[in-house]
Amino acid sequence: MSHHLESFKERNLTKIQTEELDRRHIELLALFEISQSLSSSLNLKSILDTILLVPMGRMMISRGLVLLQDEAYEYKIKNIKGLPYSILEKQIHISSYPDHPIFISKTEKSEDWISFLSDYHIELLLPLISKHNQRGFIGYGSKLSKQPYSDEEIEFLSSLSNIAVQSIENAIVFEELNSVNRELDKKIQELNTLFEIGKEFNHIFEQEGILKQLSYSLMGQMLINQFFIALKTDDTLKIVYKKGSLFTTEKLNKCMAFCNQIADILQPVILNENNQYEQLYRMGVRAIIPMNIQNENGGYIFLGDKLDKSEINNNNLDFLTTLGNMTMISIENARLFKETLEKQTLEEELNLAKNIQQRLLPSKMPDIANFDIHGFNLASKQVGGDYFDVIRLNKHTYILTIADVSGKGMPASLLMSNLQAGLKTLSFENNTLAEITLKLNNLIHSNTSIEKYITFFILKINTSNGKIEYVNAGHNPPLLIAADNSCRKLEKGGIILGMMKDVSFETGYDTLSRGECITMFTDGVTEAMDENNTEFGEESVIKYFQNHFRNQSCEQLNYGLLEQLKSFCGDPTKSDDVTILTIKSVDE
Amino acid sequence: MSGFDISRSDFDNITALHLSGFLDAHTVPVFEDAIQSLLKEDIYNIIVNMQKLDYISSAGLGVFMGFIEEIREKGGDIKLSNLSSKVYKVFDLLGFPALFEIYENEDTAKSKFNNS
Repeated sequence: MSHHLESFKERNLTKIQTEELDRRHIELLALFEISQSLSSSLNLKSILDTILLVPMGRMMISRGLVLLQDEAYEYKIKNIKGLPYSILEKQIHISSYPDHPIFISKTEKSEDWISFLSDYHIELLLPLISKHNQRGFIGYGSKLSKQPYSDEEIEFLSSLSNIAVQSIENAIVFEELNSVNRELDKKIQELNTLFEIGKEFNHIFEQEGILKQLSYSLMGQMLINQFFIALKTDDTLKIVYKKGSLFTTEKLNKCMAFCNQIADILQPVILNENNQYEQLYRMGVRAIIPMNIQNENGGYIFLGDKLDKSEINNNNLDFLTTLGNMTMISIENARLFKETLEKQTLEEELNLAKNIQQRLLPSKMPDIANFDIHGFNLASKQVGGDYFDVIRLNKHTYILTIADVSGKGMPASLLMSNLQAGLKTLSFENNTLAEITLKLNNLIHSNTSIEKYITFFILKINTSNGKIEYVNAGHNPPLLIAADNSCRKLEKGGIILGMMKDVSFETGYDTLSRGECITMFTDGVTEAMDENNTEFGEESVIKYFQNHFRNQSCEQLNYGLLEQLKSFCGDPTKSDDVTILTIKSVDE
Repeated sequence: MSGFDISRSDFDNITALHLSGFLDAHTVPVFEDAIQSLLKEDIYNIIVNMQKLDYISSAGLGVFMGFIEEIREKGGDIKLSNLSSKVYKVFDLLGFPALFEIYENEDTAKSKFNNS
């Protein structure tokens, strides 16, 4: 280009014309150089530097700025020279923008942006227009020479801005692309973090370890080292984890008091001084992340400030919500896992207890001349509250006893062993049955609360003559089935054991004659229910014995009755223990 | 999963931890214990040299965050050195360069401690 201009000049022109052409020549060269440097750069800052500094140097201009469009009618100051840094990034509203170069001092409009530019001594404003779209403005201050801008200078600057606008657009697209890429990388990093913590949660089975993992990921990913976590137990929030020195115990208590008053938060909230969580904001909480499981809230993560002081924004919420929910699920799994373990341990212990308890009951019936005797116990849960025993006092005297402790399971079985121990320590030589019953009553009374009691029956038989004496403390009356098939209920005695202290018990007397039998049982027999909620009933027991007692052994009788119960209600032990003890006077 | 290892070099008033391998959610407790034991010895000037570190996850960065408050309160610092470009990218993405001093090599990091 330079070569052509030189030869043209030599051939044709006068001195003045030559000077004019020289000037144009230099301008064109400058534009050419600038355009080369602009189009080879994708760095917005350096492009904006070039379009300000080159003219400023050439024309001795002391200040300049570039405004780029942010959104419709809104422009941001993106570069400044010779102006205070405080106005960088300032947003300016320009509603009626000029599409040609204007002089600010000659503008008659009195809009804010005009007076702003005038305040900072911007004199010349050139629009940056690309494909009829307004992209922004370049502003220059006055020349140091105080000379006004000439038409040629304005033309030069306009050409410059026309060249610049394409490079600016390219650089902006490039920057956007970079920032999109970076956002994408950040999202990938978030996903990696979630993926990693998910894998890690799979083999942590205690809450503390889970919260610790959550804490690492939260701190690393979010740059937050001030936070605390509260979990719900019985609808009350309790702090289970805390990091950083900002949240003191006093503050935490206040936060919890506040949070326990408000309704469940199911979506994450970013706090500010204006919303309903203002109180928490003032204590330093910046966001609340609910930890949900199946759409039910199980607790919250309360986040404080990020260490770099940047704000938690909506882009972070997906990550935080997922992290919160994953943690909640893991904590719930850990709880279920622990529960299963505990249950297993408990079951093992119950099995041990059952073995111990079974050993408290007689494993084998004594051989008594002219008497057949049999008893058994089936516990409804692993351990039960029924008790029976046969105790030999001397050659002709035996004690038979049956009892039923209120309630079931472990508490009932403990009380049952208490009764058993008490009975073993009392001397039958020195005490009547009524005295023994009274002592047991007082023992149970002093050892238990009022809602625990025992129905108890004790019988002493003289095997040489069949005479019996007995005390019935509120137990289902044992039945004496007589030779003539009549039935006598052994009811004499008093109230159940453990209700009141120092009550008196009556003693009943009877005789078990040859061929007759006495059967004792607990309410698991009479109160066994069929599917229509009908009880088996005492009458059925009486009828059963009346029909069978003559021809069958006590063992056959007892198990036969159990079979009847089974056909009546399926499994009679599903709701209560079943105990039956039967004695029969036989010919030898 | 690849392993993770830490070796330690003590200087006058500075301790450098050399990390190698994979620092992720799984191996993070090892790194945490290492820093914890420095604090127990009242060592607060710490350089973490990552020359041989192949990978770091957010959880790994979490350890730095977890201790920095306490360490700076005691007048110390954690300075980072010898980050590979892959490792640096993670630090950069999460905004760590604004919060932690990162140096090309351990000697520069050491000299920054001695100047302060």
